[in-house]
Formats: sequence, structure tokens, C-alpha cells
Amino acid sequence: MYYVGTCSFCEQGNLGVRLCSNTEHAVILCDECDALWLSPELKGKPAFLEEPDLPCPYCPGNLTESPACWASMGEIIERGWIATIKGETD
Amino acid sequence: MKQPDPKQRGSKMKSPSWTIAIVVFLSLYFILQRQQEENDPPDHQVNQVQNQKPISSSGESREALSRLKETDHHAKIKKEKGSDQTGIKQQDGSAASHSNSRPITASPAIKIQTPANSNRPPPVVSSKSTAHSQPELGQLRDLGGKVWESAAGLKYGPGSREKHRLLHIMRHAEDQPKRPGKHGVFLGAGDRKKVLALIDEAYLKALKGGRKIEKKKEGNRVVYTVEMGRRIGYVGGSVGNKQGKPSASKIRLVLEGTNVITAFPL
Repeated sequence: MYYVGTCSFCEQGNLGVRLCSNTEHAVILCDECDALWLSPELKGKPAFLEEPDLPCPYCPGNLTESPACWASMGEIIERGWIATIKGETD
Repeated sequence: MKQPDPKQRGSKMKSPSWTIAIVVFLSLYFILQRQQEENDPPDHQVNQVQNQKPISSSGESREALSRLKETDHHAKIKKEKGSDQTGIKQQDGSAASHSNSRPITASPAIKIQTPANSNRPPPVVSSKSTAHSQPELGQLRDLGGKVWESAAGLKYGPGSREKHRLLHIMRHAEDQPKRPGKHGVFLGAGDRKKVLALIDEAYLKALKGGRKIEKKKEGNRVVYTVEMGRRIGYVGGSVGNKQGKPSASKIRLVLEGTNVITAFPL
């Protein structure tokens, strides 16, 4: 998982780039508390999607069921977010 | 001359003395028996009462009392008959008056086995049964639909990368030294029950409130940071490992109502 920072809400989770189950939309999601930002600028307060499905904020898909996944480097480059990446976790 | 038979003479000699001895013995026996009857309570009543069940309800006690009165009445009639037969006149304050003139409940002779005067110890609610009715912290109860409820009332259900919150929480039962940033690790050597007991304890403290509790609310999410006052884990992860795994005495709980999103030491 490529991460863009640490969650300001739980202060422990890593913020990864997550693709929805339609693989069209990318969001920033905390791997610890599921706090969500729409872009890696991390502006404002996080949103909290309905648990446990975490419906995609842009489409009828969701962030939990396959093929929803953490974005690869290519998918991050595609979206122009490469500059925000801080590193990779296991 | 005809000599008298020594055997016959002996029996003749013996018979009057034997008769006197028997008469004296019998008279003494009757006197003593009469004295005993006058002084002692009617034993048969005590035995009857002792054989009865312990009286618990007022209805039962009334029945028992009426039974006792009947028995007393019969005993009195018997005694009166007996005294008529022997020709001994009953005086006031005799056995009959003892048995009938005073209230039965006040009679010291009647030993009714109520819980108050029984030698049997009263039923005590043991601490064991109380412990059974109140589950230990860390114990889980299946609510169905893959949702588990802890003793403190926290719910663990489906969610997170690990597909279930319990699996997610157990990520904090061991260190992930390569994980970027901090990774709180619970003490308890990976024992789920111990980890959940710590979380339950933290939650109960959070509900109590106080100076050692920090609360942050965002929408329907609540984050509690609870100072436990003792070492409950350590800070792992890449940052924690660089710092030599410092002790953690706080637990952070991220909740949605009573649903656990995550919990970890800091």
C-alpha cells in the first residue's frame, strides 16, 4: 500500500490511495479507522462512510469488496498523485 | 419324721419378699412417671412438629397451627381420660392446662423449624453465581450476523481491511516493525481475551469520564484516549522501534456508538 501520510483523526493509521469496486474512483482512506478524504491534499475534516461496506462517494460501488483495492504505482501516476506519496507499507 | 423339702421351703421364703419388691418398684415407677408427666411437655407433640416441613408461608403456618391445636386437644382428652382411670385428680396448672391454656406459638416446647430458628444456614447468594451472571471483561457474546459483544457492551463486527474488527484489533497484539509511523502493541502476548479485557476496561473508564479521559467527536465517531495508569503495551512500528519501544499507558478507542472501529495503545 502506498501512503500519503498519517491519519489526523486516529493519529496512527496510514492514509492509502484506495480504488472503489468499479476501479474508476480513487480516494484517500485510513487503514486504521476508515476516515476518508477525497484527495491527497487532505483538506478539511475527514468523512466517515457507512460501515462496513464503505460505499464509494462517487458511484454505486464500494471500497471494501473486490475488485476494490489499494492503488498501484501506475494507478497513482495515472491520477497525478505521485508527488503526494510518502512511502509504501507491507 | 418327714423332713420338709429344702427347695420348697426356699421358694416359700422367697415369694413374699419378691412380691414386696415388685410392689415397691411398681409404686415408685408410677409415682415417678406421674411426676414426669406433670413437669415435662408432651413429647409426642414436639416430635410431630419436628417431623413437619419447615413453615414458610403464612397460609402454611395457619394450617400447621390448627393441626397443632387439634393434636393438643386430643392429648388433653387422652390425659383427662387417663387421670379418670387412675383416679388421680388433675390440678390447675397441670399438663392439660400447660398444653391448652397458653398460645401454641409461645410454647417453648414446640420447636417449629422456621428459617429463623433452624440450624440450617440460610441460602446465600454466592459470589460464584454472581460472577457467572456478570461475565468477565474480555469475554465475548455472539449476537449473530458475525457481530460479537464484549462484557462491557462493545460490539465487534465486519469491517476493515481484515474483514472483521476483531482481526483488525488483533493486529495490535503484535508489533509490525516495518510499518511506517507508530504501531501500538498491547501487552498480553497475543492473547485475545487479555487484549479485549484491556479495551473493555478502557471503555468503562471512558464512560465514567474524568481528568484522565480525552474525548474527541467527529460526526458519529467518537475517539476516547484513556490513561490507564499503568503499562498496558508499548509503541512499536518503525517509529516506536527507533525510540526503543517506549511504554504505553494510554488506550485510544475509536467508536461509532458502541461499535468498535479500532483500539490501540499509545
